[in-house]
Amino acid sequence: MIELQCVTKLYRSVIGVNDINLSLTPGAWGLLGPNGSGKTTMINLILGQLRPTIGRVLLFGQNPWKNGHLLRRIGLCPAVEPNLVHVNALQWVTCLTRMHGFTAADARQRAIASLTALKVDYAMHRPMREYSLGMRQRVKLAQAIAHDPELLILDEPFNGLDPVGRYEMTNYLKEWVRLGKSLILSSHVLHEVEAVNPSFLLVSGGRLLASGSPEDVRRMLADSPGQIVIRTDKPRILASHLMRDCPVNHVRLGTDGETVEVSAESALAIRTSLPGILAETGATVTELHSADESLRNLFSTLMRYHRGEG
Amino acid sequence: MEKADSISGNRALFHRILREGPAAICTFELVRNFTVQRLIVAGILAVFPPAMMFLILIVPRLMGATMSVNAPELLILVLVSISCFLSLLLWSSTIVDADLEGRTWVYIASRPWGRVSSLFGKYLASLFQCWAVSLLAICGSVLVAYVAGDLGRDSVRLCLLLMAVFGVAAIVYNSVLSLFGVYFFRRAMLACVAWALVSELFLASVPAIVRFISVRYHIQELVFHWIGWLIPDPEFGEIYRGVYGDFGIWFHLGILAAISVVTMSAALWWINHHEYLSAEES
Repeated sequence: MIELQCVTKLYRSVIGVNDINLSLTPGAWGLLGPNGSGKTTMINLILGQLRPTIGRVLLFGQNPWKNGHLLRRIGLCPAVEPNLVHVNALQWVTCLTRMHGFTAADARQRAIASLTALKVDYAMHRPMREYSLGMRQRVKLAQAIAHDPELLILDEPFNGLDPVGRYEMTNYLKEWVRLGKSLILSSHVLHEVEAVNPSFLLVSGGRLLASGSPEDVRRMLADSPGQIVIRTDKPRILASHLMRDCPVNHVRLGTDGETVEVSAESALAIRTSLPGILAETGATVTELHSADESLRNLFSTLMRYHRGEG
Repeated sequence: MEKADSISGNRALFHRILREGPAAICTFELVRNFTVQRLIVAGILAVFPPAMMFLILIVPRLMGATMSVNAPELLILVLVSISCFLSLLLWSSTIVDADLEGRTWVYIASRPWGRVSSLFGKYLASLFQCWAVSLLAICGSVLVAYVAGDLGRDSVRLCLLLMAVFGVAAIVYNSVLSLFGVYFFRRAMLACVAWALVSELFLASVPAIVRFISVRYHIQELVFHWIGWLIPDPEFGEIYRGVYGDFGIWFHLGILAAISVVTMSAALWWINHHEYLSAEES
């Protein structure tokens, strides 16, 4: 479906993406990376909005820069918020759908259908300046799906959505994938992407660091350095046992007197040793979570591997 | 066989998009411009020439002065030109920048041949807006001149001829300013004003072949042919012809059409071959 062959993109002296090789088959893909890692540049290269400085991009087997018709098969929901204050969602989505070659009446029907599917039809006649961030996010998705594309590309689609909105968006995307359509979901938050259960592409510093299934990423996360916060009834005892039995960097007692914050080179080692320690001490764990929800640690580890420092 | 089907399918899609895309953008832009602020701006541009005519022709007489203006038609021409140029400057020169600043460019550019649709759609929208402004400005100005008693019975004919002149001028100037809007998208207005000063004020007045590249010279010739009052003195008319030559209407219309086609083609080529980045991205 998509192929990037030795693709590098330079913005004058700044590297957007650096020597990326990948081949995406139809299906669901999660493009993960911190902000500024090159995800949007990669999407723009795939869409033919940017020309690679070096290398070749193929979309459905053709060069997207030279073959505008390929965009008919794609729906893009970009991260940027359009600054449209006076127009309403129906006018905007109809205009963008009509640009795919539909007649005005047909485009309007499709716009209404997509806005209804995303549950913003009740507000489609209101000016967009009155919309909440979540509603605008839905309208952005509506304009991407109104022409019924084969491949949907979403750049940070969960931004601004409340928990209910996130849940509905996730369900919608799962249904999209279930219908056999393709999806590229770009985000810097793992659990958002994980919910749709795609294969992953991990990008950082303009480089493709790793790719694989959700299980692969979880394994990598577990192996990467990280901080774990454990809420327990016996924090001091647990802390001393962790220091004795596990390869930890440091252990800190929380100010609330109920938590232990553990930093280790491998979070997996802690998780493996923890049941034994709990059995030995008789401590009860009520909560266990990663201290940093982002993928920063994983990315810094992968970057180190990439530089040959791992 | 499959490849041929695919090519003919793409061609059909291209034709469909070329029909619907610009119409969609044009309609959307016109709807989008139908706001109080933008209508006030358009209103000011349309009212400026009649208001100036009123101040020049009627107010002095109301105050007891016994002055008369030799060529009120020339005054109308100059004032309406200013309004129309400003109108085009506002709407054509921001053809790409308005979308980049409004963060709507990526939505347009991610449509098949979306850049082409955007260029033609915005061209049409700014053309209609300029025509509307010039129509109101011409009618208002001619009415004021008629009320002041400076125009004879052929005011309606003058009105129609001025509409024809400004109709043609708007098409050509719109193409040139669109090219500037696409090429110098960040400093388009500045580039347009610089071009107007150099080409339209200076080069158009130079009695040499170089004046052919200015738009104003050809428009001026159309005015001369269609309306004829620009040089009322026959002797001066002969001198004028001796300096500027006599090429006929179709020649000038042909040159204006060529300027329009060439600049729009250049704009089309550039908009399709340039990577537009927003200020944040670049």
